[in-house]
Amino acid sequence: MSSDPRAPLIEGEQIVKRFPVKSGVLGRTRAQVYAVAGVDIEVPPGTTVAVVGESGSGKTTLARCLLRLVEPSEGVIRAEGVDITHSKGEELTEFRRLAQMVFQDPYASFDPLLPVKASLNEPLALHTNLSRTERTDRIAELMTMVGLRPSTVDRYPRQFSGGQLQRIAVARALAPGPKLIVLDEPVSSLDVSIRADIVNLLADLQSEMGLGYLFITHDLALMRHSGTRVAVMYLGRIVEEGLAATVYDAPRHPYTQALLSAIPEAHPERQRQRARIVLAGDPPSPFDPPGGCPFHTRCPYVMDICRTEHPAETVLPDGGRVTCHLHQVGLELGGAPLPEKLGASTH
Amino acid sequence: MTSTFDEQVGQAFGVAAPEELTLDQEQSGPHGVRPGVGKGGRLRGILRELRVRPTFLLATAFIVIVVGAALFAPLVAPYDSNAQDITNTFQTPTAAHWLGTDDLGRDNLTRLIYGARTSLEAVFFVVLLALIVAIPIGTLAGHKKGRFDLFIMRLTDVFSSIPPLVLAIVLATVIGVNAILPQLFIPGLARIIIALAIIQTPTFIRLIRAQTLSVSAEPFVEASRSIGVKTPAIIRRHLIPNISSSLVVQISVAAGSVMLAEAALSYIGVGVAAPNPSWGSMLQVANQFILVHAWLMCIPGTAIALTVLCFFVIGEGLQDALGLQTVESRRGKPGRLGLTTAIMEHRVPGDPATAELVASAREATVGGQPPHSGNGEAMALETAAEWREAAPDLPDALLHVQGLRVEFDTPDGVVRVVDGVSLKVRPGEVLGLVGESGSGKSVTVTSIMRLLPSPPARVSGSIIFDGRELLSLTRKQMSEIRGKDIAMVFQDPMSALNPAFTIGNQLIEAIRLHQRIPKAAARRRAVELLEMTAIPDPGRRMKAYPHELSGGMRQRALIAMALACDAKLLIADEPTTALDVTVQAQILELLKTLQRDLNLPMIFVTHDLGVVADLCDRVAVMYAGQIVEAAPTHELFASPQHPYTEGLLASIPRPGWKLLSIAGQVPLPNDMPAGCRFEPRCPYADEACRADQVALVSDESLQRWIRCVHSDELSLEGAK
Repeated sequence: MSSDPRAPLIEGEQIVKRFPVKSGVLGRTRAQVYAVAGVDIEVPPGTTVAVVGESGSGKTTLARCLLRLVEPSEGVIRAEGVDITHSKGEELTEFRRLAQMVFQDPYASFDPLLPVKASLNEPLALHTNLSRTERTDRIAELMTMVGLRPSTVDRYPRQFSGGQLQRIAVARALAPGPKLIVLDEPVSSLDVSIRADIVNLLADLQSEMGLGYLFITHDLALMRHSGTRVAVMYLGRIVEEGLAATVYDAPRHPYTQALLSAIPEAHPERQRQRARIVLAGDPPSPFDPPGGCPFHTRCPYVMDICRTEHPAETVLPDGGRVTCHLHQVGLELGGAPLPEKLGASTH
Repeated sequence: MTSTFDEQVGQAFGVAAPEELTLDQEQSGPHGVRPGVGKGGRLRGILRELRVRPTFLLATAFIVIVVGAALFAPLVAPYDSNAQDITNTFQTPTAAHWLGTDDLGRDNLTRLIYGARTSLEAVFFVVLLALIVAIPIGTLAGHKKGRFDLFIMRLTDVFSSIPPLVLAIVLATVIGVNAILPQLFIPGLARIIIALAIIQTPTFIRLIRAQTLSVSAEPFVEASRSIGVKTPAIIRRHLIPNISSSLVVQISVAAGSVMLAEAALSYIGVGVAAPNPSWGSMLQVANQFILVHAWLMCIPGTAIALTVLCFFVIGEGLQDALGLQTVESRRGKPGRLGLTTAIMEHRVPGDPATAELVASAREATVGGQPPHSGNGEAMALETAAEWREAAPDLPDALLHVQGLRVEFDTPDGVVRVVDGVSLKVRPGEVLGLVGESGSGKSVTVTSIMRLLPSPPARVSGSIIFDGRELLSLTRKQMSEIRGKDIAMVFQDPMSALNPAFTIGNQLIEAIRLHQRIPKAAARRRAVELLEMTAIPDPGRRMKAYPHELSGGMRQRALIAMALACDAKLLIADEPTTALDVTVQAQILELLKTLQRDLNLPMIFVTHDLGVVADLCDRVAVMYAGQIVEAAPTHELFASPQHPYTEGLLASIPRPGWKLLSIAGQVPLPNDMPAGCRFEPRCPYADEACRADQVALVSDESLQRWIRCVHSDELSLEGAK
């Protein structure tokens, strides 16, 4: 297996994940639910890609497909250029060494019956040939790397605070020496005042070790760092993708615009005077997706074509992508040219 | 110090150095009620639970005696088990024969002891064989699922459909009485063991599979998979240990039923062959003479009944003690009310803490009888009277909370979760209650509604609502206020909606609970309320069940229920935290509209300062059980006076600004600093802060309240 060091750490091409809906006595498949409905995504080495979306967007399923924790129904997954979609055995274990995951709830992601040193030992024992003493040393090294005292490794998960345990989760992810870490809402369950600890730790580790990150989150505000690429997902598809600064300051897709608008700003004067876009209705369920563009039922700029045809992807001049008829067909609303309507800052 | 305020903030609230971060952990475990809770602590906890159950101890003692006697039978038994004495048959207890003799003059006690050996041997081997087969199959089926699981389930279904004892008899007969492994088993015992093992295995498989299913769904199993650990290692290392506690319970119950089954088989004659002693065969012999020598029957009968009973009691005791050790509680994660749920779990057997909360939650929205009697009432009365005397007269406040203190009785002592909280809500005002984990904000509002189960909680202070002291009301009086005058909306709408009834039904019930109007009128009002909360197509939605609605819809339905009775005050405990951000925006718009149109005062509990900036007129910031600052919203954000508030504002991500955090963590209720509670984390702290507890003081206008020794000197950064 020869890997290309310049190829993206992980690449998903037209990833589809279907879940059959069974009903009846014999469990006959009645319909298919598309959790992920055709996604192209890649994480270049040493960069951060954020996947943002609400519930039902498919972001969590996509992450698990890319890591082969869930088998995709269709599509190709490549790690450093090597096709690993159907890898098994040795190949798969090697892939697992290179791509690790940090989960949302630190307390749930550690075996409550084992002291954390056992949890840290698991990846080391599997992926390295270190002796027991060497492993103990490495564990101590990892703890220090994440800013914790090594003497606490004998403790149990419940004896740590959420922030500390999440750091240990990062240490565990670093143990096998990966190149990519997938983070599934890593700070959502932590207090706001300590989220920075984890986020800054991750940034430091990235610059020291050249790690790539795939960040799954619903919190757009957290991802507003330069160099980060952001992909916005809605109902199993990426509706907009681009550099964080662009997606924030000049969103191209009406959903992104609404999402940004919905985040309340911690500044009373500005917050209360902001022009707000409040979407009507609830996020549609993947069980019953609307025809045409999946967002048309809630889109403030909906046109006739949106109800019937699914928009094709438009590649924008700055390298970003957007999937919206407004960028294909043009705005038929109010006469104002497109970029003005959707490029205005929402802050 | 010549550094600018920005630099100070950057230094002060930057990421802490490793030593600093972990120094705190030296004294006490950072989370959970008891420090140092690890495997040793868990075992001690279990033993403690068992020690206080006398029936469990008795049962264990009995079983120990039985097992001991069986193991050391040759030493303990007074006679040889086959020693006949025809001259001395059917004796009742004498000095020579403590339990008398049987039809062939054999000593009953001896035969009882050797019979115990047989029965226990059967139990041991049956359970062992069944486990050896069931554990690999059950865990594999539960973890991998798919076709293997389906096949195994159908197989066990087949076994379940056959009456077990009938199957055992057939098997035993087919196998025959010929001695199998005569060194180990007396004739007839092996066939019982095989037959009963075949019966017991499917049961174990199903139970193990069920337990494995739930453990396998836990993120830590997925984490192991993502590391690359193979299935056998996952089963061995993670699944089996985590189902072990339920397995132990199942084993003790199985022991009882196997013993009964063995006795039954031997009684019928397909078990242990005569003259070998077994309790079942003793029963059979005794049955032949029951009309003439009834005493003979009592011996094996009592022995079997007592032993089986003790097995079941042991199983039940273990279930109670270990039942507190579900994966969730082992995690030690604070529950919805933070520390509270963890504390309550340790006090009350089973999991009534959650049940209480569900009942309370339901009740808060609809009204009705609270689940627990309030023994805190008498105490509260005293302190409330005291407080009323001391408190300044503020006639314009709709709700006036003063000196609210909430304590819990735990095995480790009294834990004070809320310490002297004072709040005021004026008519038409929205008060935001902001805090992070461990602040006590949820406990505060729950105790305003008097929804905390009163043992183990003790609430003191004064809560004056609409001129009445809530803490001095009887249960009945409080239930009239709850849901009618004060309504509450929770974070998880499913916890307050009954899944078995349509929301229309529940709305109508809520309306009719407090107003005497006919059903048709109530229905019309219900539709009106759903319209008010902007639920589309309300007529049709009335017929929907809670699980058919999305999270946002459910929350609207809950708000509708809260409005059903023209509440004078709405308490919302993190109602949008669990919702998507676009749905949250809708709910916030709704609340703003309602607040405007109905002039409805609100207490809005949240950790999200953005929501506060959007919705609230006044803000109270809580830290470690106390209010540290309270002010009108604009002023709090523009010029905070407490370092914690400043830190909170600084930790909100802002484009272009480095993401900051507050170093350290919230102190545990049983481990509070002697002086200012925020001092260990405060960048401006000095000796004066450590000296004494800090009081909450207000400025002349009574608009701003601050709990800080240095509030006059500090000039803090507001929101940017």
